[in-house]
Amino acid sequence: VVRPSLEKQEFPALFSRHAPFVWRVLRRHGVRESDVEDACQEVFVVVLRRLEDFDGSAGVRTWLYAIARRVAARFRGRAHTRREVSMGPPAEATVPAQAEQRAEQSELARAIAGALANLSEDKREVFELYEIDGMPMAEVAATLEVPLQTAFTRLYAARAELRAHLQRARVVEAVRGHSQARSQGGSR
Amino acid sequence: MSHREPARLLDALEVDDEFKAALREAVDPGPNPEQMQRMAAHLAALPAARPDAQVSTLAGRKLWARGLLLTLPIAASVWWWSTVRVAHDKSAPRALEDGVVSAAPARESVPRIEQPDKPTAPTALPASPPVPRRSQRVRHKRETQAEPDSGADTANPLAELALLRRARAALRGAPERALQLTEQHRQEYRRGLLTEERELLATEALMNLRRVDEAHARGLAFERAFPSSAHTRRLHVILSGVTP
Repeated sequence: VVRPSLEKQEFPALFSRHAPFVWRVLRRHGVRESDVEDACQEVFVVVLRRLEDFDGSAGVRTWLYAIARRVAARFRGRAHTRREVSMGPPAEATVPAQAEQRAEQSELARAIAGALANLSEDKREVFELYEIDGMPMAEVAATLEVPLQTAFTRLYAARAELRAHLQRARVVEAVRGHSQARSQGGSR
Repeated sequence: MSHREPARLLDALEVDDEFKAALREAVDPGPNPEQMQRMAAHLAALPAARPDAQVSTLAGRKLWARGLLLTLPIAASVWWWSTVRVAHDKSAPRALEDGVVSAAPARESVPRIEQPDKPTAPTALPASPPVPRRSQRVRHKRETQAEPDSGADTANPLAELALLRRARAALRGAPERALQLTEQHRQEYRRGLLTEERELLATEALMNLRRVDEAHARGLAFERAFPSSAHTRRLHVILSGVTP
């Protein structure tokens, strides 16, 4: 069923509802924290311009995702150009947002962020679209333009890798704690 | 082949709350309310979807640089022309005589731009000037280049260019300073050759200072004063609020 194109008056609601999703997509696609607000705005400038072109044959988020991905690629390019021109200190690398460990994060959150950063891009994308953004799997598959079966495979693989990574991290933590306790006991 | 979706980790009963909280914490939380508000304000200030607003700011910059490069030889030829040609047509009165922008102009009160070379209508401009045909535009352009006002400050186009370059350099870090420099240019080169470039810079500086209404007013004045300007696309990009 093809829905009619979006109207201009729907834009504010569209923005409020989907800006966080667009923001996360931009971050996942390597837009730097300092640029993400500009990039997000740029996405919605494009959206505003193309509202009437949206024919509803795909979901709104699928459409937004495609725009955000292109804008993110442009911003990464600009960041690269700026580094070349300015000759300043190297800008922060275009790593996924999850890899940037924030000081206020709990230990478990940091471990999860590390695990997500270690996932391959295609698995991480499926995992986050499904688990965090709450997209149905059919929409995830359509957004990423992969067969549904592939999307499911990636999701299960991502979960398994995440679990394995966290278990490893727990074992390492336990060993570290044990050795610290031993060294403190020996020093007494 | 049908698939049943597994329960999401954030919803699954068997996943403990600590893990759910940590998972939420591990991913980017998205924009905070202040950022949302700022973006919404910027987007609300956009003119209705304009076909030119899509030009990327990078492309816009290239366009600006190209415009400047094109301007140099034109400036040189106009300067040469003005030194050898004494007689000129003074019959056409100026349409825009004062480039001062009021402190907080309403959208309707469009600032006026001093236009050195262009013979235009003497008084009030129509709200939406008719777009001239291509042949007319070409002729208008030729007239613009071939008949400079003898009073134009064309003595030192390079100094004029240098001043605007300083304004351009200050645009990002110190837009207030950039605006001052464009104002200085307006005063020193009241009939300068780089009026269009100055107005473009001033508009961008105003946008950078978040003085959106003034920027739009100035942009509107620009479009009226220079309807066939090569900088129009760049102007639309600037007014779209997309930060370069």
